[in-house]
Amino acid sequence: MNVTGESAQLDFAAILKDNQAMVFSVALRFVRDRAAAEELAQDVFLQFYQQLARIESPAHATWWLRRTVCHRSIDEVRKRKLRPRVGLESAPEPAEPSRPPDPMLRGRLLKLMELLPEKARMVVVLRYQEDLDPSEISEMLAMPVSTVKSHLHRSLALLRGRLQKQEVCP
Amino acid sequence: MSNQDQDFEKELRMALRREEPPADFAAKVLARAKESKTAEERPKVVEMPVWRRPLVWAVAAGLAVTALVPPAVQQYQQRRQEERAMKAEKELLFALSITRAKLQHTREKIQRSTRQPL
Repeated sequence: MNVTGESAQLDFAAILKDNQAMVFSVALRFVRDRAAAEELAQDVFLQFYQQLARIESPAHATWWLRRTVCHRSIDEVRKRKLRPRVGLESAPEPAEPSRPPDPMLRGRLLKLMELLPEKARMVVVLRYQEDLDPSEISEMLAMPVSTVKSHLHRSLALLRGRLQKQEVCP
Repeated sequence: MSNQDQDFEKELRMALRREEPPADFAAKVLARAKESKTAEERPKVVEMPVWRRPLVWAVAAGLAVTALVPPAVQQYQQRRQEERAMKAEKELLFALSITRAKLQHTREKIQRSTRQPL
């Protein structure tokens, strides 16, 4: 659907199709339930639709949508106070032994992600879901690259430590 | 980076793989976009606030004139009357002073004439 009716304008429907999984998935990592993530993602696309005239290219559209959903998701979590209050300081040292493949691992990792503070969680999502490198994450979240790397290092340590703890005492 | 780290990152990537939204997601967004566009295009009936309507202003002005003008006219007339009275009083006093002076002068003349021997 070319919603503006001008051929020069970007095709909103095409942008929606190309980016819906990204926007929905980022929202889902934060608000936890699919209905709330869908609502947040819809709101982001509607906000985008109102800004469509200012968007210069499909790449710009993806960048805008990713940045907006990141900030909206963080705001939403803060508003709802969904995150349990567990600090990264409680992260244990990473343990050594490698584990056998676990079909339930995905669910456990996603659950553990909820322990991360909003910014750290967003850094992990952008790194491992969106495959952005630290400099891109730094630009998107307006934080120094060193902070991004620090978030990644500490978050991975926390997640690994918790995961191994669960395996020892399920 | 150790193999363990790499394995863990791989697991994390697998866990955080993107998920598709519900099948009707795009349709819902497009419907909402269309709805918002329609709402934007709809001519807006601007309800003018009561205090900005010309008729209200005219009535208010009339009431103000009715309320303020008669007392003002009355005050003006009263002041004019007082001024006239004061002017008349001054003129009367001036006339009396002239009369008194004339009388005084006449009396003095009579007295002088009666004292003189014939």
